[in-house]
Amino acid sequence: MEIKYFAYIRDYTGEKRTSWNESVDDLADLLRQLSKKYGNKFRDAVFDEEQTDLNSEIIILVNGRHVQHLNGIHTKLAANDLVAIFPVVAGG
Amino acid sequence: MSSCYQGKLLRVNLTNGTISTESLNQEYAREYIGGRGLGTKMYCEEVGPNVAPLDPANNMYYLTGPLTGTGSPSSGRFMVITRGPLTNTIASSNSGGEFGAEMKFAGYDGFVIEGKSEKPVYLWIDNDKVEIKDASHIWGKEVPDTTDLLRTETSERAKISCIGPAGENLCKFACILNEMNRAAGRSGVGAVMGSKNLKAIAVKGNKPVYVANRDRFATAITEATKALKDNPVTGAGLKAYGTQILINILDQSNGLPVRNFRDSGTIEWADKTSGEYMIEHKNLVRNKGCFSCVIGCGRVTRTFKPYAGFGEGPEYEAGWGFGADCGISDIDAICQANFRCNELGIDAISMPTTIACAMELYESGYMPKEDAGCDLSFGNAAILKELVEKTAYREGIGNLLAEGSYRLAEHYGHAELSMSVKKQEMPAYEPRTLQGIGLEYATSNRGGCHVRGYMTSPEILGIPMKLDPAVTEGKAAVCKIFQDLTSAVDAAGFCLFTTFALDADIIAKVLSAGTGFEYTGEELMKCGERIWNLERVFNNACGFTGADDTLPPRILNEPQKNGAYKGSVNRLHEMLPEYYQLRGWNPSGVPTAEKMQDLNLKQL
Repeated sequence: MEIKYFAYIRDYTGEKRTSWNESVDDLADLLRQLSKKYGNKFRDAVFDEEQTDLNSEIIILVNGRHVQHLNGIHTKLAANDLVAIFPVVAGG
Repeated sequence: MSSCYQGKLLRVNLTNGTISTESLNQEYAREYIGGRGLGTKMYCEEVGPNVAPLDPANNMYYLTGPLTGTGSPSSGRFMVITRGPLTNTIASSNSGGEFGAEMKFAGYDGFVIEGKSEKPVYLWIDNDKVEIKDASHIWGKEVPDTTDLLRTETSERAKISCIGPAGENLCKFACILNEMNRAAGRSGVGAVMGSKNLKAIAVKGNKPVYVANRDRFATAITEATKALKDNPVTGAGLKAYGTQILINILDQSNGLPVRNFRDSGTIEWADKTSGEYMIEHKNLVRNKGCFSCVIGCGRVTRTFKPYAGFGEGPEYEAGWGFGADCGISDIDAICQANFRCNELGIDAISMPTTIACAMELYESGYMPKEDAGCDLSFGNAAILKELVEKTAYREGIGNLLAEGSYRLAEHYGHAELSMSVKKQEMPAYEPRTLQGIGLEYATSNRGGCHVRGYMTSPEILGIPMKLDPAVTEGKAAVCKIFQDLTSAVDAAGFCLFTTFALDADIIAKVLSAGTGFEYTGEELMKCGERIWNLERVFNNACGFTGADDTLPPRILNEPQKNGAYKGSVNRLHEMLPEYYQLRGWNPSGVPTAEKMQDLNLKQL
């Protein structure tokens, strides 16, 4: 699985992308595993305060689709998926 | 009663040299707010639909919003309203910087420019003293030199709004720049200014701008400022990365048009052209804000050899245009081409998208190599600067590029390769991925445009709600709301970026306290709807019909080749009838008599 990070999420991960070869069930599982690797700032950026749902200020895409339009934090993941993690950004 | 209007307009006739002032029509101010609304109302009454864009009788209206020049956050905007030569529709182009606030400090809500001077001139407005001055010595000069010379000649404190060589040479997408790098960018308003032999307006003033209710105003702008600062987009993201932050999220969402929209919405090197990369590559010198701005999204930037330069930007749309749309991954070449657009006075959206169209015509064999005069293949970064310069001076292939992509593609018998709506090029969002932005582009009153609604916000960024970009259901209603809101925001003098954090109710509070007119959020939206419909009535009177509310055939008929939205086209036909119905328009796109009455509008 490939995971890409953008904007100030890169400050928390120290890298732009990573290949993740651990067994992963769904997005929540992946984010918990990544939080162990990257620490609390990353965890707090991706999870809400209760750590049960996504932070409202995060955008996560799986294979180009916003997880809101898939199954949110419970979106199932497969080994060849591409996950992209952004803070809420805008412009125009 | 005090209000944040100055209550006065300046009228200058360049044909006979007369200068006069007049009172602001308070009834119009109440119904149309200012800026885009008031300017369009005045344009429709004084000029109407029977005057060609480059005819001396085509007036220009420089209009501030009532909040311009007040302490309201991020509200220093002004608009230039006229009929544009690129589209032949109403053209209203918005700019930030400090020029709009200085207009207010000089004592005016707006300038009306009529007629055509026999020789090049500029206006020097120093409070109540207004002069039409010879500009023969600056005609032909680029924007930075023009700005410097006029500040030396008038006052170091003067704010300068001017055209570059592109406007003088009537490039159909020439823009008007103020403070060198802020642009009233789209639809060719710079060509209208050039057609009048008006090189520039210099303005300086020291008059106060009052508000109707100081305590209420202070409370309202404190609330608005807090909301802007607390919001992750307006309080952090835009300041840190600028609008070029969008490159990666559009790319990852498969919404980044590539090579004249020929290829699907993602490109492997997108990150090399992103806002993040501009920091890493040390292009970013610092951020910068317009008058009273608390966001500060502007970029002061530099580039390195072989594309060395210094300037501002690019904004996302220009960065995408010279980048992914032209198949170019070199951020220095992209930034340098954007610098040259600002220096020469060219819209940095229509320029690269017209080049992208030329590249496809060239690669397809429709444009002969001898016409191109260079290797116009996608990805050739070395030709960007030269093509921008040739366009400004209408040299070689530049003479055709200066007509915009539609007329260029039509010249070679393939108008379908112009990625435009009503002959204005679509910006940086793929309508086969974002269904709603297709509807927005198709129905925009000034042709392909992303700031007449900005459906990207709910469809990709999740602001203020998360809409699935792939579905059409419900998009018509949201598009209408966004179009009406942005009309009102443009009229008020607020920057559109405030709408990432402020809703209609907060904006209405600020406006009410400032103007003394009482608006609810709902009434503000109705003003926006009125403005939108008046623009539509004008375009219809010019001969536009529902048949013009469409998208390029590629977007409607050529499925995306790969990615998350493989197989998709834009399904405009599923949205447009509902949109007309919600607008209170008949099936041909004409506002019904009931809707006209409801909005207090009359046929032109």
